[in-house]
Amino acid sequence: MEDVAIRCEGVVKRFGPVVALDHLDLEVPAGQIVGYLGPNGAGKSTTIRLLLDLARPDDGRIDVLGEEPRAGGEALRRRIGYVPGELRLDDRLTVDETFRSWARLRGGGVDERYLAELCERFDLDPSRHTKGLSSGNRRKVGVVGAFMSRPELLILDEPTGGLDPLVQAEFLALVREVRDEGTSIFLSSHILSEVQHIADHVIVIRRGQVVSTGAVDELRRAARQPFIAWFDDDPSEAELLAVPGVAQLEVRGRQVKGVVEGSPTPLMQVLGHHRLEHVLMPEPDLEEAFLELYKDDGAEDRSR
Amino acid sequence: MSASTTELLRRGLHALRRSGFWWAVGIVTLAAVSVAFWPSLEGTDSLTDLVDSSEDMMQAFGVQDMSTAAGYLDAQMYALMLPLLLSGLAIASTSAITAGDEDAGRLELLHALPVRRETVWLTRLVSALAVVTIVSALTAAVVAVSIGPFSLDGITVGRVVAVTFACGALAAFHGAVAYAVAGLGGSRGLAAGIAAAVLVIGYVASYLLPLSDALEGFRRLSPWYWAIGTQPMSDGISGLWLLPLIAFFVALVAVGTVAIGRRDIRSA
Repeated sequence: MEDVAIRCEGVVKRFGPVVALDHLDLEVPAGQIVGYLGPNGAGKSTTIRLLLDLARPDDGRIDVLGEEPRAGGEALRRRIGYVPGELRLDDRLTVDETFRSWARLRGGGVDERYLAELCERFDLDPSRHTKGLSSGNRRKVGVVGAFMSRPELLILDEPTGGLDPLVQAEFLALVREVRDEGTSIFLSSHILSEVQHIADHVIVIRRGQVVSTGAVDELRRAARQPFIAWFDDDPSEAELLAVPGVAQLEVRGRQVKGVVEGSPTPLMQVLGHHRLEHVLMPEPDLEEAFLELYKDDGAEDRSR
Repeated sequence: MSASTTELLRRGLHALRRSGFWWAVGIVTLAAVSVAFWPSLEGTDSLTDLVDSSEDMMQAFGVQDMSTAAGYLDAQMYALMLPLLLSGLAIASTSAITAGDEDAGRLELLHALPVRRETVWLTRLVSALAVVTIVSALTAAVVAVSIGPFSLDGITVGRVVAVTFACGALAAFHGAVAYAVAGLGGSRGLAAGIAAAVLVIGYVASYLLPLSDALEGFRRLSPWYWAIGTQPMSDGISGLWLLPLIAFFVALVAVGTVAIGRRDIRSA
């Protein structure tokens, strides 16, 4: 098995005058869960369409499981499972018939026990008609359909939208399980919390370019770390503001709130000179790191 | 045939079964009613007088001779209505399950599965043409079994089969026009629209332009003329004239299939 499940080098994709992907470089290590984060319109779905050979790049190189998507063709796609952002189902089939139809199109049989187990885990009734399924149930059909063939690589486009929290937790547990069995997972999302708790790596894309990449821990370290301190003596705003990296300071009597960027050591040293009642440093939300990357023109991005 | 190809055909036919059923009801009804009226119309002078009195206008609708069963069936079905309806069925079905499904985003998941794009599209054309074939066969069967009971003198089963086949071939050609446009990236509306325009222009060239002697030569450029001449049941079908129709059909299918392999799939 290759060390790298997905590699994009200098990938450009244009739609008329719009540049959807602008020299995109990214790498998804094999056997890991990689979160692909970005606001709507950043180019996440376009990337996925290129990986599946639904669309072709204008420039650059794409490598999926060691093959170029077009050259790899159907043999390559047999090794990939895909959950589309919006699943359009044939309304005249039941859930079970839909799964069997997909299995026949994949040219393989159905692992009955595994399929039954997946339906059970997601509380999905296979005898129901796909017509009239709620968006959450349709999503479950997409997820079960992608996982049931045990692919080497799973490409998931915003997979948990419409799922209730319990099912979402079940989904994330399943993703971890197949990761532990060696499956590579490429999980696109604009919901940060779903990626934060599951991804080994995160790639952040904006306007068709990767703006940040790294382990979730690294991204978290780069993030602004919020802190709250309750002083026994009187805090000095000037002293705290002089600490490198401290910002958004709010002093309310003896309670001080703020964020620290980079290492918290200088802040800790200053705090150490005081008598403290309590210090709280809540786990920073990936969103804070994420929003930071969009600070300059985030509003513009979201309006697209 | 591989399991996945069989499944693609199944899915294609499944998608067309409802619309196909109603097209079949309509077209078979036309055939049944047409043959059933022949005994009461046979030998009535008023019909032949009507044809003689406004020869040009009648000819524009494929009506030439109402005094024989063959001439009557040409006028009633085979010269205009049946080729027109079968072509309409082929155009509607083909554009719906190629460009129509692509417009609706239903092809995206299919193309992400391990099946060749070209196979997906060809099976969809085959499904649409299978519906045309089924409806044509039903129509031919209705007419063939009516030869005796409705005294369609001079009509042979062989002639019925050949003429219906030619009408079906004309329909397949127009389906292929829609397929080529869809393969090149046209929407459902564009694919159906262009194919319908080709259908109408072919009719004009074969039936209307020849009303002027100077323009009669244009008839030879019409797919209608290649397929059925002007009085197929009376004159029979020429295998030679079917050749250009088949050649264009193959070329159009090739264009559509090569084009779909080379372009991006639209997202909904």
